[in-house]
Amino acid sequence: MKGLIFRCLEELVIEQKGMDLWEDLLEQHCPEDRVYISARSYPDEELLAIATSVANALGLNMEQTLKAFGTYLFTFLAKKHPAIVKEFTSFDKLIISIDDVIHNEVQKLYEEPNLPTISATVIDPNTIELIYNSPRQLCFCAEGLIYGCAEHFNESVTIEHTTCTHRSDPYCTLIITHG
Amino acid sequence: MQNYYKAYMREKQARDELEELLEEKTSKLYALNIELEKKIEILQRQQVAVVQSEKMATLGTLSAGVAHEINNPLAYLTCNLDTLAEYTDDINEYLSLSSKLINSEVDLSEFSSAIAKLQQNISIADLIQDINDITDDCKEGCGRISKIVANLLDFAKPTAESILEFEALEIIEQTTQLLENKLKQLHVTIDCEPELIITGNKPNLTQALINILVNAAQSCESKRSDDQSFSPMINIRARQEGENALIEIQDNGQGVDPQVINRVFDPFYSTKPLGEGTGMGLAVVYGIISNHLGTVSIDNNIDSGVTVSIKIPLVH
Repeated sequence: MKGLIFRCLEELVIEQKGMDLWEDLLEQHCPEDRVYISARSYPDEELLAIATSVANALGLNMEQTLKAFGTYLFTFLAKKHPAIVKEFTSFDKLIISIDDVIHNEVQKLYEEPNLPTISATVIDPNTIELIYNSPRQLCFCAEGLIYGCAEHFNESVTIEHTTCTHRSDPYCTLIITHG
Repeated sequence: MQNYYKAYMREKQARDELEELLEEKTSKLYALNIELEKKIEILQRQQVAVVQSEKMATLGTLSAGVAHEINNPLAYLTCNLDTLAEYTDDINEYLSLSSKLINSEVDLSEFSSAIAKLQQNISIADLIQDINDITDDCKEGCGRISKIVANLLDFAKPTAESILEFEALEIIEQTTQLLENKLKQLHVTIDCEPELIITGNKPNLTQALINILVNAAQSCESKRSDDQSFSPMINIRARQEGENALIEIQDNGQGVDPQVINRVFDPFYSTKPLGEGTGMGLAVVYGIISNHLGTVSIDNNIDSGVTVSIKIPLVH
């Protein structure tokens, strides 16, 4: 997983729970000299271990933690790359372009070989069907990102997670109702 | 604690600024890389165009020789067909006489005397022998023409269709056959190990060998014009060397001035008199061999002439 994601988690934890907790998490789960740099890749296990401890510290389950993290991640990324977000004038335009535009930009900057595959189809003016597929199974984080995106565009949104790899489906289907 | 937090925020800001800088540079590098890829694509297209135009020029140069090579078998094919046409009357008479005998329109003594009369003109044995000879000659002539045309078609084939696996000997033989007329006055030997399988664009590799052999032939001819007793020679050898097929073309011509030998693969560089060479022949060879992940080099021989060495990876 790219350091960018770890840096976002670092910011979230320090903002919400302070530096001590972050230092504890680093000591518990990471090599001694760990400093996260956005463009570098770090073991997925590290993220999972930190996220599990964060969930315990916040008294949330993993699903809720990943959704909350996803929501925060959108704001974090939008702040870091305002030019990319500015390209989109509405919530649905950004969601439809995740694979073609956003992931393309990620590839340019970070050369991430394990990006999820995402395809989004407009069902009607207020509904988008989004298919998420990734061996990392971070569909709840993806849900959080969508909530974060809706907040950014001042849209209200509900997400129905109709198929999910955590329930042994071959991929995740998110039916997004917005407006 | 407050101080530690401030120190952390400062370190974080430093990381942010450095990452921003890195991302900016990465974006620029990415854009430049895209531009570079486009330029490489244009260059590759231009290289294909240069090879194609060189091929067309070669076809023009070869046309007179090829026409001559086709004309020879065509001449005796025509001659044989004329003879066959003359024999047609004799054959018809023999057949018609046989038919009359079968239908009892003539008796045996009439048949025998008519046959004896016909035999005075040409005997059946001679007729059979001649027709067999004519047929064999015609088949051989048609075979030669068909081989020349097949070589030409293979050479002129569009490049994209032509990535194949083949033996090094095939392109060597095809090249020498296409250049048969140009190489007639030289002593050419081919010594090629069997089963040197390479992969690539056959017409383009043939083009490369043509360019090298034409240079070798011109160098030998030029030396002979100075010395009539000179006996020109080209040796083509091919063998395995490690993971590569090594093809060497050695001539005993004039050789190349050691001061300029390093420049002969440069585009538009020619050692020939003004107006005679385009300076693209060996540059095209270099391009074609590089595209086959191979190398090409040229060295003056100790006695006389040059040896051009081509290395192309073998198929495993």
